[in-house]
Amino acid sequence: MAGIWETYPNALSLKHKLRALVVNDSKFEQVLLVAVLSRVGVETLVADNEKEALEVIQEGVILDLIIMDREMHDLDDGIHATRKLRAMGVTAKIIGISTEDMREAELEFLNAGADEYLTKPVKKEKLMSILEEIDNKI
Amino acid sequence: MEHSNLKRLVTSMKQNLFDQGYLDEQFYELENLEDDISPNFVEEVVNTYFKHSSRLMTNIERALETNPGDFHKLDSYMQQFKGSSSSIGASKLKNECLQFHEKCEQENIEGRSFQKVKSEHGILKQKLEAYFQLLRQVGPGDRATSSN
Repeated sequence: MAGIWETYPNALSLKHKLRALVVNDSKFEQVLLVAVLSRVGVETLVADNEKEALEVIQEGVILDLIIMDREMHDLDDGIHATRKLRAMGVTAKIIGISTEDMREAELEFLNAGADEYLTKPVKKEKLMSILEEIDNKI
Repeated sequence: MEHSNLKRLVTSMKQNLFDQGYLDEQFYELENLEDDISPNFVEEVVNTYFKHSSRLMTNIERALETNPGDFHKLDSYMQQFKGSSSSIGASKLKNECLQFHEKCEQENIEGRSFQKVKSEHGILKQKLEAYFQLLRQVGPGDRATSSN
């Protein structure tokens, strides 16, 4: 299976066990996001690139959230991957993240099928609010 | 050194890093992720950051030597660098990355553009190493991790 399962003792107040995929070629950024998500009990997979992300989906893994970095091997890899995932019928909430704090960058991600766009560094409070929203909709 | 003096020194050192603009509030976000399971989380993350950023810097230097006109590639590396730097709250470094990125957009890179990034990276590494060395002496139970 592509990626790594990171599971931690259930830490906070989500009603459901959520599962997230972090798609980011930076191990460092993977570690940070996994740390934030795991501390609220979210089961988190990581994928280093678009190919690994697609493999996770093809293996039938059901995801609640995908955090997609825009700049991986190429500057727009995350946008391309988002488009691909939506074309495959993935309905998980997709958050695009990037260093670009520009409306065009946000629109590109949203037009590719992302639900939200956050600029780095990703604020924990914003992630928590998104997780609660997902949790409440289940 | 007496323990309470040590704690005061650690607090003062951290405050200086913020006052001098080396760190921003994102560093507090990292500290808030520390708990009993991961009492040294911030130091571990920062060490991982410096390993990652050193590799990126090597890639950038290589790219500047072999193909300095490939601004797209240089910018791609620098975007990664900027993203990682902002994730640990490395404020000055993030700003240097932003300036380098702007020069990539203008297709106007000189060798010294990157030297400034390298220099800030080296300074931050030294300061944080000194800070964590002192913090280890204080011990995990007594750390001042309060936000402003």
